[in-house]
Amino acid sequence: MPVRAPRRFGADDFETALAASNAVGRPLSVRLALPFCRQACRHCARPVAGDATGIPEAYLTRLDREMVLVRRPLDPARRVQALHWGGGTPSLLRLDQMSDLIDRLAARFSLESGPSRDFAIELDPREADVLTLRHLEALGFNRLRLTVLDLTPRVQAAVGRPCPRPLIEPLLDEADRLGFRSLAVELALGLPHQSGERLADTLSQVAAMAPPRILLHRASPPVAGAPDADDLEARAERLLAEAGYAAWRPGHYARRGPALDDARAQADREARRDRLGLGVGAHSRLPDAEARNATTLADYAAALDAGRLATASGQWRSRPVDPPPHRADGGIT
Amino acid sequence: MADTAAGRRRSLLNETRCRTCSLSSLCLPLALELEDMDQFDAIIRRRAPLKKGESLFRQGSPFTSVYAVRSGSLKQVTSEGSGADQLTNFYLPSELVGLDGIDETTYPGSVIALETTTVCEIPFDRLDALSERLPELRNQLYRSMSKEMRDDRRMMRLLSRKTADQRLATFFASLSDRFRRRGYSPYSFRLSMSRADIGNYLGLAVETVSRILSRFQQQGLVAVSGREVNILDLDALVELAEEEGCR
Repeated sequence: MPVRAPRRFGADDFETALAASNAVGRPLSVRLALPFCRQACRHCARPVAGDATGIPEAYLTRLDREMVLVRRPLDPARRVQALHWGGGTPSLLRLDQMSDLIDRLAARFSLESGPSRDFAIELDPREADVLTLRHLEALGFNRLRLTVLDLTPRVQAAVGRPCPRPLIEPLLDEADRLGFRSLAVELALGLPHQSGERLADTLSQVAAMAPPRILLHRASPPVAGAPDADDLEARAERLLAEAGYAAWRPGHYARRGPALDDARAQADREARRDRLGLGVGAHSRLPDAEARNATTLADYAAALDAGRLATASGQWRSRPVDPPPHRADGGIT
Repeated sequence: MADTAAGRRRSLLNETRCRTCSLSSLCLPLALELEDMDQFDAIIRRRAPLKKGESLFRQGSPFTSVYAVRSGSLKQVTSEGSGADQLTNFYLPSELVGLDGIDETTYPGSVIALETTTVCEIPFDRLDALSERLPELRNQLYRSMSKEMRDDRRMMRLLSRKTADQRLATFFASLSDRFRRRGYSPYSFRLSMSRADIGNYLGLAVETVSRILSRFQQQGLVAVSGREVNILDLDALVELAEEEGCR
């Protein structure tokens, strides 16, 4: 006897939730997923096209279409206070594409321009230089995340990301000079050949560069043969505490003092915003519902090419909004 | 035809004397009496105009002379090791080219004309000898060097901490000031350099220069059409240039 499956949360539901969110009218946080990398990493579970040499214009056009569809039910007076361009590898965007994408966002939404804005982007240090940072500053970005993962050459070779320290340090210095409000160095736990000693070496090198924030997240899915992430994490916590860093959320560390205060204040602001996810696999969080976009490029493209939102799953919520579950790669930068 | 061209050149060379040059009040002979000016004039070699893209001298070539720009403009390009070329200076009329080559006896960068450009060549050994006899000339030489050092310091400050907006605002404010000193409009001038040159000089990608130019236009600071620049709000531009910290 056929069992009728419960009706799936879809694009119509998401639109209803978007319209309903106007009642409270919280500020907006827009998170753009740019799921393209030069090569896919084994330790990374995000859906990406792993042989990209750039971000295709067709994808940016679809993002633009998605902005139009998402904005339609929203009160135009609601401001976008936070912006996050995540990976994939957003630094595969050419500089003129970055300008273009900001212009498209500014055409569809009311972007905050004051100092209370939190505009962040994830950068692969191998794909960015000081000119990139100056361009991003000119576009209004004020927060950076550098995807470093590990500084041990052996580990970098194993994950296919050779990224020597001389590539990273000038970016830290320049971000500081340009007045970026925060810079997070992102590291991963549980990579192949990553031993306790090697992790300690990476952490002491990173601590010597003194970035305002350090992100530690676990390789997902776990890499076969890699050391136990629990042990590494306990060790990392101890070392970072000694180096003057405190966790303000699991996996999120900031230098004690103004950097830690800034991180906490940003997290408080972010918890009071409605989050709109744009792009493949992007996650949205509204007072009444959570939703996730299609997780393959083909499904995402098909929905938008047909003029529909790409909502693939989601659920109604019956309780007040809380911060999302603690996960380093889904949190704020 | 050749006779005519040669004749034209001869008459051009005759016309270009310090006494009659409109830039003499800004150039080295600034403080000289008329008869001293003639002594100075006598050591100067007038040269045929440089065409756009032609180099005045190459990096590393022997230092022999300094040059005063009479008309047009030039850029200095310095190559270091394997790195890309860095644009290290722009020279406008009345400014001296080559002062940075005195101590090492070679020119530290190549200097290339950005448009049709005329310069007065001043052989340095003769300038040196003459300035022993003419203290006003020596003082003016010191002043030119001091000013160049000051400008370099300002450039270092700009490159070490200013945002892209502040860099471009500083650049326009500086150009405006240089045109004003020569008696031209500080509000309306033509850029002889490309946006790529400006970006290279300011340490910005050309995309960033274009971005900021359109922002300045939206903000009503400047109006740019091709290479024609109209400064609409010089005060605001100067204020932006001198701003500390970030937006």
